[in-house]
Amino acid sequence: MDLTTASDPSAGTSVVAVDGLGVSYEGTPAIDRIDLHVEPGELVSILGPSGCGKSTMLNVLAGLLAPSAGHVAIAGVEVAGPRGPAPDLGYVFQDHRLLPWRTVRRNIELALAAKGVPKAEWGERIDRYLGLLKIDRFAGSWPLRLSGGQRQRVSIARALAVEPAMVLMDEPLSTLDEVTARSMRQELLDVWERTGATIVFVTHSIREAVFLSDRIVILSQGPATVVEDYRVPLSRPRWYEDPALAQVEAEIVEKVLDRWGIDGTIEAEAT
Amino acid sequence: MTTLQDQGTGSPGEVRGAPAPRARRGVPSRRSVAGVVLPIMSVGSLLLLWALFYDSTRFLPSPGSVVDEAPEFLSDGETWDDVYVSLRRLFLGLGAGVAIGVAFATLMRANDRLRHLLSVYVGISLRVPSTIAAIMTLVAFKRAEFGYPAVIAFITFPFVSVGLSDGLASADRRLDDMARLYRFGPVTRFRHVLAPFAAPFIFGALRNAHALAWKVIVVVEIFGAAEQGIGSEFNFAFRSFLLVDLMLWLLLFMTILLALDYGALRTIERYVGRWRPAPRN
Amino acid sequence: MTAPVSPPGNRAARAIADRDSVGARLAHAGWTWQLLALGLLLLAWWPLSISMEPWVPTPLATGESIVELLGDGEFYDDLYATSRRIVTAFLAAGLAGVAIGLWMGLSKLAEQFFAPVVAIALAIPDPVYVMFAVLTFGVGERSTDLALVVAVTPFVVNIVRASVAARDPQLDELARVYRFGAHRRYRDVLLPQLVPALLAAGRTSFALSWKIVVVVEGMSQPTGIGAAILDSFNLLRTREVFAYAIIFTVVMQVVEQAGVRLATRRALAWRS
Repeated sequence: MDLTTASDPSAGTSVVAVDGLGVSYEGTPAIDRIDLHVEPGELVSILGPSGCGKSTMLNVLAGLLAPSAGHVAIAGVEVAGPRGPAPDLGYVFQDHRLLPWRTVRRNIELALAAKGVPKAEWGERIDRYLGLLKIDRFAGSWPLRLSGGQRQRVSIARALAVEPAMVLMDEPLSTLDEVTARSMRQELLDVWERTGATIVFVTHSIREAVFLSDRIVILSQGPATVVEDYRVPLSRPRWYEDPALAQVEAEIVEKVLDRWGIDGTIEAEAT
Repeated sequence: MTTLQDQGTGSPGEVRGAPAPRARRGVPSRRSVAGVVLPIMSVGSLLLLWALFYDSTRFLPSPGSVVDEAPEFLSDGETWDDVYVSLRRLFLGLGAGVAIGVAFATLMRANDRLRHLLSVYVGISLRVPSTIAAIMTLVAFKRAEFGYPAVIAFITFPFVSVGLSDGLASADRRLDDMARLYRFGPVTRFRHVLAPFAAPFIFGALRNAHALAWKVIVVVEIFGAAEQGIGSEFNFAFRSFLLVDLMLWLLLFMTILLALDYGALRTIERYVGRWRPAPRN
Repeated sequence: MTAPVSPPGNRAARAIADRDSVGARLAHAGWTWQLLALGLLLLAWWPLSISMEPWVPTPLATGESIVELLGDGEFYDDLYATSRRIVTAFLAAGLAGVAIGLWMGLSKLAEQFFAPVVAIALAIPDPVYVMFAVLTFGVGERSTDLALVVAVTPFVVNIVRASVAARDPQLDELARVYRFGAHRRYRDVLLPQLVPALLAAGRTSFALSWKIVVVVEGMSQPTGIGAAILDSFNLLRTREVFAYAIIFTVVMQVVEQAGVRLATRRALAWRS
């Protein structure tokens, strides 16, 4: 695996190209400046303390908020807020956000319909992605009858089923219990490898970020800037209890301790 | 003080009160036995009181005579004509009430000024006693048929309006955000996100309003000296001292009320809410 | 413990109780808006009344009628008669309702026994109570009062029972764990929590008494506002009907609001 720092900012091939992004609400800056490029097939984590402007950045990437400065392009299409064209992405929320009054299958169908996928393809796609997440037997279930982990799998399946240029995941495992989260992390990697999707993963857990990602983009406290674009120096497959992983985690903790201060939510997990 | 949101206006899967003691398998718990026996005993004791003491009141009929006349009463076509007339008035009124209530709630949500303005009308409707509202409406519509559903609509719409407003206010923006992110069109959002969310609130409000509406329709029909309808039959029986008829009409009325409520409304409500998780005990 | 399945009669009761509580909440839409809304109403009323003459009285005619009534001795006689009945019913239904409601709220057996009775009682339309009362006791003050009390009581029962059920069970447990003596338990733990129930009972009792009295009077009495309204109605004196309705509603609402505010402030002082 390539261990050089920072990817080549050749905007032409990047799936996500964020250049000089700045966002202000009524004069108060939420994001000072962020530069970020994500190449196809990468899994990049965004790590930042609470209140640093992560959600703002997510809103900009999702096309819900227009940048005050700089440019954001997803799959080559400039994203400029609600008035601009919709970015081609799948979104996985912290809470599953499935329509509780529609079955799992119907939930995904609605997303496919909104994307313009022809009806004839729906059945096959849904079966395929649910199968990938190992929940195909729940296709006809009501979301509220599933466990938390199962619902998140549906949510991920939905994001993948629309076959977007990029999948944006906002702390998707933070509401799950640790045991479920552990197995989900591994499965997420499996799914990522099988689909070759480009994933941007927001988290506040350093260990999770180190385990999952190719690169970690570390943000400062608000208004956000990029503290470091850190390439994880570990080869895959990775092992959650690996002491080498713990070491990398410790290094990152060091880096951020003085940047974020004690008030920043740093999650260095006890072994 | 109870609020419109208590019990039955859409809190998913919540059960109020202390959990029932878990029964030993196969053996009904003491509480569940009591739960069946006591109500039967209480209704039974009412019937018993009736059978024992009807004599000493001036004009109450004996239970026996009521039972005797029941079959003829129920097979008479005119009985059901009256029932149909009242039903029609009631449901037209409820339908209009729901429509107006939904309109009010949507308008009030859209615009702050409208909200202030319309809330006054909702308030007026809630504070005017239904009898007075009934009479004024009857007067206004010269006792025409239109007046009856109009009164019901007037009484009902604030329930739907408030119930729906409360529901929409408590609506999570999160599902809507998801829908926007996945680019659901406005029609899709309405059909799949908003409407299913609002339905239980409308239903809860409707159930309450429905029960009230039945009481009002009877009053309206009596005061309006309607020629047809359950109220008119009550009136006729009363003025002609036909006690058995009065009792029969009362029993029929209560049966219809129960049947509609438990039968129709609850069934629809259960269908609409079938996606909800079973209440945890 | 309130059953999760609530019979339609209870729902009507809740609907009626809600009309008051929600109405109170909505009242504070600000004076300007209230005036504006009423103004618009008047504006709509005028052309309607002219086009539907003589069935809908014009605002002007109604206004005149109101002034007339306020100067008429007979109106005050009627008002007095009605008020007396309201007070009687308010007290009687209040007491009975509180007694039964408390019993039901505090004892599960009582709850299960009386619940169907209350449900049936609520499902019976008010005029029917009058009818049975008249048939039993003949026309007269006794049947009117009785019918009114019997009609109002179930509502009070319901609200007391709901309020009692809503009290904090943890405080009861606290008293038990710390072994408060029975006297202290009642005085310091139970009673203050029952105060909202009593207030609700009072409020409901009064509110429903003045609303149902119109029905009851209209059907069985020669005196009283209800009777007057029905008379005017039958004689097609529409402006009088409207006038009575408006005056009566306004007066009663004012009294209710004042009473509520007074009682609430004094009784809930400990809650602040």
